[in-house]
This record gives sequence, C-alpha cells and structure tokens, in this order.
Amino acid sequence: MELVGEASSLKPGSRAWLGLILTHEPHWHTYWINPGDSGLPTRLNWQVPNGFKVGDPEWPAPTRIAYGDLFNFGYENAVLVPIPVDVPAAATESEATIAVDARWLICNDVCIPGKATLSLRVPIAKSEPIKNSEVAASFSKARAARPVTAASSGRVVESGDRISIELSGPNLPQGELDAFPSMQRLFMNSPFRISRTSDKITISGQRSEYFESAPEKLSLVVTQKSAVAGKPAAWQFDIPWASQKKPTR
Amino acid sequence: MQRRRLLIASAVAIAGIALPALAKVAVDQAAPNFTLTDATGKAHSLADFKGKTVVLEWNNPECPFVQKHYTSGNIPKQQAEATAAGVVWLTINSGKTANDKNAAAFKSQGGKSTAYLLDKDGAVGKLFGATTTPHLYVIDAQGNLRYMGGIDSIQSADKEDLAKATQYVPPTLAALAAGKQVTTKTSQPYGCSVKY
Repeated sequence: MELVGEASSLKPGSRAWLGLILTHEPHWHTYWINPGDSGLPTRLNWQVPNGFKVGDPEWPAPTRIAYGDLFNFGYENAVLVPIPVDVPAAATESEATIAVDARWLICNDVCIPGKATLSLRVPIAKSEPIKNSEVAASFSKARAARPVTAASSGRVVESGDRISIELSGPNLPQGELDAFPSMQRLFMNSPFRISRTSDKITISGQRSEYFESAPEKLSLVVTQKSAVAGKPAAWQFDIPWASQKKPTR
Repeated sequence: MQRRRLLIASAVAIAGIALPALAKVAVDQAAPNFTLTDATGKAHSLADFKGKTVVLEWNNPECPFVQKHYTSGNIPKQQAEATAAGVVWLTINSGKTANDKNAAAFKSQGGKSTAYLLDKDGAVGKLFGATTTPHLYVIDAQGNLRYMGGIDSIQSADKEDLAKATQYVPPTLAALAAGKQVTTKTSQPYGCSVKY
C-alpha cells in the first residue's frame, strides 16, 4: 500500500488530491466498503495538520470475486483510490505532513490482516501545483473508473423474499451489468437478476437473512462488464426506499 | 419453506448429492437436523440434543479472525461457561479446512467444545448458510433457531477490539435460560470465508 500526492505541492485555500495505491499479487484481493459474504473493508484513519480536512475516499467500483457460492466485493491487481484534502487558506507552514493509519484484510485462499502507517510530506506553496507525472496515468484511470452519479429515477419494491430495484430515466447503463449495494444486511450477495425494457432496468435480488431494516435510500453501484473507452463503466445510484409492510415468513 | 428444508435435510444424509447455492435458515424457525462425525469418527446428530440448547460455531484455526477469538480466550471462555451450564457447543469445520490437523489445532488453540465436527463436503455449512469463520447459531431446546450471525459486534481481526465489543452468544444463552426474549436475533457475520 502506498500514499502518493497527485501534485508536487499544496496550494493554500484549494482542494488537493492524494492517492492510496493498493497493489495485489495475482489471486489476492482486498475489500470494498461492502465486502460481501466475508472479509473486511479497508479502514483509514487520517492525521493531518490543523485546518486541513480529508474528505471521503473515492472508492473505485468494486469487482465481484466469486468463491464457489460465496461472493466478495473488492479489488485485485493495482488500484488507486483518490482522496480529497482541503488545504486551509491560512496555511503558513512551508510543508505539511499527512499520515494515514490503514488497516485492511488481504485474502486469496487464506486471509492476512494488514496494517501500516503511511505518510507524505508535501511542500505548501502559493504557486499552481504541478502534477506528478509518475502517478498521472493512475489518477486518470481511477477517475475513469469512478462511478458517475446517475440522474435516473428509481424505486425499491419489496415482495416477500425478493427485492427489486427499478431504474428509469435517460442515460441508463448499457451492456452486461452487475450491481453492488454499499451496505451489508440488505441483499444476499449472489448476482442480481438484471432485466431491461426500452426505458426501465429491473435489478432483482433476494433479501438477506440478516435483513433488519431498510435504509431511507439504497446506495447502489452498477457496473458494466465490458467498458467502452470514453463511456462510463460504473454508476452510483441513490434510490429512495419507502418502508413497506414487514414481510411475513 | 418447511418442506424444502425437510427435503434438504434428508438429502444431506445421503452422500454424494450436490446441494445448490447456500440454503437459508431463519430465526424463530426450526433448525434443520444434520449428522457429522468428529475426528475420532464418532457421529453426532443435532437431533441427539433435543431438550438442550445447542450452539453451532463455524471454525477454521487457520483463519486470523478465529485466532483473534481463541488466542484472546474469548471463544474458549464462552465454550467452557456454556458447557458447564448444560449447553451443547458444537464447533464445525466445513469444506477444505475440515481435517484432523485442524481438529488438533483447535484443541491446541484452547477449544473447549462438546465436539469438533468435520463437514468435509460442506453440506451442513451450506444447509445453514454459513459464510464465515467464525459464524454462530444458537438453537433452543425445542430445536428452533434463536440467534444467528457474528460472534460479536466489532468486525475486525484485532484483539484490542474485544474490550469494546458486544458478544452475542452469552446474552442469548442467558435469555433462553431465563425464558426471556432474545434481544439481538441476528447480526452481520464476519470473518474469513468458509472454504467450501
């Protein structure tokens, strides 16, 4: 795991980007914010100078990793997670040290918990920051893989053990799709049944046996299996979930 | 869903039948019967223990989450207290890790269960929908499932989290013993995946 800066300096009163680089040996994986049937999401605890604020990491869309009948959601190979840092306008020091305590679980057939403290010392300067060329391609790739916020309308329909998500609107995802809820305890993790008509996509899954209560909004990442260059390959939907009658068993 | 469970339960007794994807059990419903052998070859059936509260604990001594709960003494302590109070505690290893070496490792990690059962083809794990090690189920004396899910409330592989975590099995056993309602019926199971 590595922490890098997108640019070689930090400008007071601006937003800068860091990148957390996860590199996996073949067949090993770490986990997304919802890890699926097992595993643990990567946890980050930041230490920054006064006035600095670290925003939410832009976790790239996950990959479905199947292990027989079990499914995990996570990352393989090399992945860069962009992380925003707001630099205070009043920053007067010549440099800032930003550190993160990272804890993760990396698995193939076996699992190894990992932890590391990574830190970065970056100069603070009023001049326009210059991008670090060594990481430019990785940042571009990460941003291309970032789920686009989808402006479709949707609703969640519960029918006993089955829960369906209906998406409608312009610019619906095309191609062969997969879907990942950002929370556990809602759906079973086997792949959704996804069907479409000309103006609607229906994503249907089984209620998790650990289902407790519906959130107000379902946060769902939808991915397309074969990305087309220049077109989005992942979408982020936040779908209102009207609480419905409790299912009888 | 009762009839499907009965069909699956009888299928389990016949060797060689491949089960479909993970079956589902549900809290406040009857737990399916099963028979598994321990490392000595002795058979144990859930039905043998009707009239007693039974804990099922999915285990794999090679998993860091299991090691967290054993090296700290957390699970062995729960096993010892439960069995002393007449609860039957069955530790089950399903899939590729179900072998004599792990049965021995369980003992050396301090395991104090009623029996350590080897579910080599994973049929019983799939019957209960066991996904992680550890994964816990509590069945009451009438054979109904009353709790299923994680061992405790903090999903991590760190022993340091035990001080702040809420354990789920002891309060369930206490509620059952006192004839009271079980307050936490399910929680998110966490750990390594069961190696089916």
